[in-house]
Amino acid sequence: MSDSGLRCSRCDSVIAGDDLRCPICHLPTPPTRAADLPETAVEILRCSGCGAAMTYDVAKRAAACAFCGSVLEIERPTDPVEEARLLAPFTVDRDRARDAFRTWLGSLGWFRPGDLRSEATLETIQPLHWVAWIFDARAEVSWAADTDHGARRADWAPHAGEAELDYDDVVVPATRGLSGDEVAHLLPSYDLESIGRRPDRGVDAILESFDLPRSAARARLVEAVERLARQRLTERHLPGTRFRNLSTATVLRGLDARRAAFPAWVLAYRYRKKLYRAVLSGQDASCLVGDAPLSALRIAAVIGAAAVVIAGLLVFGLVL
Amino acid sequence: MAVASLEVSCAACGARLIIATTRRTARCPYCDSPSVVDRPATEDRPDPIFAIGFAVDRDQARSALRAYLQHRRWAPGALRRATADKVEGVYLPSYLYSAVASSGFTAQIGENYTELQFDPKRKRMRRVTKTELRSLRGGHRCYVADRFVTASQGVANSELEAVEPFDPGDLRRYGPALVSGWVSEEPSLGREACLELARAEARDGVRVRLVGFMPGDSHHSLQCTTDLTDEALDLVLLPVWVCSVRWRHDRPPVRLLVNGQTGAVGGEIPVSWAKIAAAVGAGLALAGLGALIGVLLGWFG
Repeated sequence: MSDSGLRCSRCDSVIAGDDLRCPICHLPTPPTRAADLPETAVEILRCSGCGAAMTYDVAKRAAACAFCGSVLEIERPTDPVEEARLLAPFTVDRDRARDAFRTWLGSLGWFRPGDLRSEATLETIQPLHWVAWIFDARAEVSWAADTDHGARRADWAPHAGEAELDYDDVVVPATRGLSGDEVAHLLPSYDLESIGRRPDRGVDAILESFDLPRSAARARLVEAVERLARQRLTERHLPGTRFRNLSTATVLRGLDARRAAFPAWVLAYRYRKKLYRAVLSGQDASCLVGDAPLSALRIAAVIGAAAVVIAGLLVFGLVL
Repeated sequence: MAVASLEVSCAACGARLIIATTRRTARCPYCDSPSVVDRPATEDRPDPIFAIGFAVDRDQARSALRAYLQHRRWAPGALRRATADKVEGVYLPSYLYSAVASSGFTAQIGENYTELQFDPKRKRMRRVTKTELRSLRGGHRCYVADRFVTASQGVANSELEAVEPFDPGDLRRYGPALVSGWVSEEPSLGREACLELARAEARDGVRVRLVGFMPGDSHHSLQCTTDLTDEALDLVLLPVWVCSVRWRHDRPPVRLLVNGQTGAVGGEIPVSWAKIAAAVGAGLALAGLGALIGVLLGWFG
């Protein structure tokens, strides 16, 4: 979330320098004001312009001077739209990306048009750094659910349990440019060890922004962590094979989220007047995901052949 | 807490200024200069760490109050038409509580199933839903946050609850700029008493969460014990308009609060027994009329 190095004294999550409260457990952060006064002090808030006394003004939501109208703003926590601080470098250059694209077109299988590889024209090839959070956290999750394990007369039996889940370098996509499927396909191709602070990016890639103020970004991240926790619970902790009514309560500790950007080549190609899109990992030339046209003729041929075979079998059966 | 006052000279005009120990702010009676007092913190009177600034002004508070009173159907007519004599903006001391709640629970969970049964009246099989009861024991851990409890003897916790919620998103680090020129109270309830109040609220909140946590189609006999650890209790000043409404000369005025952040109104309103008696009477008369018509129809029908 921030590289301020500050951590909450209760839940050990990383907090930003100007946070009033921990975003995870809501513990107030220690005041920056000086320590206790030795004796009682009485002060009058003075206008720095005219020296008159200032009072809190509801309309201005700040202390204002009734004489000269100057306003003393009240310090408020900032909520900036943040950028990625860590970058994974490109290891696949533009030429290799082009080659990889051609190879991919030829490897799509029989149901694609036969001239796809020769007729498709690459319109644009754009390097992109798409953004995600990489987080570490520990989650103490309590859960309750009905599962089919131990069921008697009813189909369901109630169960409850607690699990400690550890997350280490888990990537939560924050990109808007790439779809969920594209990200899921690309993610395994990246080497998390290669991520560094401000590396020489080598190519002039577009760096996606997080598009969300910090508070909203944190809310989305916490939501994602809780979703992952539910997923892990259902995969490893719930007894039985089916479940319903899963409730969870999470105590999240030590949440440290770094904002990172991953390299990708976004390709747009045209085949018979229609545009298609493909995305290639910037670190693995064999990892490409995208749309491609299907050959209606070939599909019709297969269906026709199948129909002929089935009809033949039926006739054969009737004759026998 | 001993009731004593602080005598200082006004920093603007030099006049002697008496500030009650229950107040953080004062206005000089001679030059109207607003002073803000900063006392050394004690166990029961810690420094406020946050405050929420007023967002609702006096006129808005008055109109919110008028609308609230007009909608009290069972209140005496004079009260519904009354306007507030006094509307004072006060920064109310309250404690903001947060903790980790670890609970153990037991409950009887009802799991529904259907069974085919012979219906002797209709002489055929029918499907009936039955409930199988299963006991469940488990644990529940969560953070409890954003619980405000009063730290003022002048405003009961139930009165504060009536105008909650306050949005903690508007919390600002306390500074004199937030309270200058306004009445700001010092805490008058002991910290320990407030902590107990907050713990009780937190336990109630956990219980409500546990009700939603239970699996099954139904549940009953939910028992839980909650341990609260890693507690934090911090003094926060909340913006509240304290309104006093005099509606009859022989009755004490009614006190209502208006949330200075959201404009929500709360407080206890007397009911008009005459209105209730009239409503009950009208109900009985209608029922009697209905019975009479029924009897007459029976005679002539």
